[in-house]
Amino acid sequence: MGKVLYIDYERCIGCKACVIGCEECSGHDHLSRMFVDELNPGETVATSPTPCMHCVTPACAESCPVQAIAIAADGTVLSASMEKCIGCKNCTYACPFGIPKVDDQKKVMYKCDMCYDRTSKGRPPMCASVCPTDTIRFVDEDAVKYEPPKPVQFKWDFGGTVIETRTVIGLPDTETNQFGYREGGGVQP
Amino acid sequence: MRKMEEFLRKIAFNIRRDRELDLNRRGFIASTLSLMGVFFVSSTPLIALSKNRKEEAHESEVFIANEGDLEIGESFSFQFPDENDPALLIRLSETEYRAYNIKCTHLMCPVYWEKEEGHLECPCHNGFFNVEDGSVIAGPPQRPLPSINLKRENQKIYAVGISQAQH
Repeated sequence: MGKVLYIDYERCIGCKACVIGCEECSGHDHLSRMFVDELNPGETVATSPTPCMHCVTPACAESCPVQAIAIAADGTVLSASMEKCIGCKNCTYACPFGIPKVDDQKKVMYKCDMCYDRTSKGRPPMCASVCPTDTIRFVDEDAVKYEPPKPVQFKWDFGGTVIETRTVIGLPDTETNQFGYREGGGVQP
Repeated sequence: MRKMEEFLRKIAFNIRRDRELDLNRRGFIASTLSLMGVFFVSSTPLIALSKNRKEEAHESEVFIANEGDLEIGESFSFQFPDENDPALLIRLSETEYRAYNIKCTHLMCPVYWEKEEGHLECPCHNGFFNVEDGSVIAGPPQRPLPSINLKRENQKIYAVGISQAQH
């Protein structure tokens, strides 16, 4: 099995190094494909880095009218082929995670391709390399999915449609609240 | 159900990059040709059926007239092979008889025997047929008149079959 991205939201400090690192990846043309969202500004400093989830049945690729988005042999959902993409934005509407972006100047879509230049040669993607807190890690798929260090989620239920993703999310520890957000509005007594 | 969905995804979405070229022009032509082959093979039962169908030969001999009833140059109308198929028997000489289905091959107007001119004429659009073999002399019809095969026996004339003349 290949390696996949594992994201542990509890560790994220919101430094956005992954966003900058993504821009610097050679194939990415200085357009960042990474999202770092502030979950509840003012209440908490929690942030969530989101690269592409790399679905097993990617809605972006299946909705593409010109089949510009391809799945590589290892399951990585690639960014749209520059020659094929017509900039119709179907993928942006189809993606349940809101990952694809469209470059309105060039009229092409771009999304995380897990730095395919690097990962196809066994090197970790830029976001994982630059993350200072190991929030984003590049780990073995089977190990993180079926023998995870903490509860993980990689199947998402969208109103009955279950989507399995290759990117694995580590669930926050809601039992001991060892890190981060606490119940009670985030105000600590 | 899940298998079906996976199968439909597989044939509907050409998104696997390693299998991208399976659905190229060559694949399209191959699938088209094989589809034609499937259609061809599936039509063979129909071919067998059409071969087995009984020939539309009218085996029965239908009596038309006695030989003496008709003067030379006269015609006699009858129905052959059934009541909706008007036909004409024409005596050309002492021993020569001709019979044709007289539905004009243009628009099925009844053709009549023009005795003075010596040919069959369709009055609707001025179609003319040769009385010797039913071929078209002039006018809009493209195909000759179907001729009726005759048999003479004991001074009686029978219609024994109908044939599309090849001209």
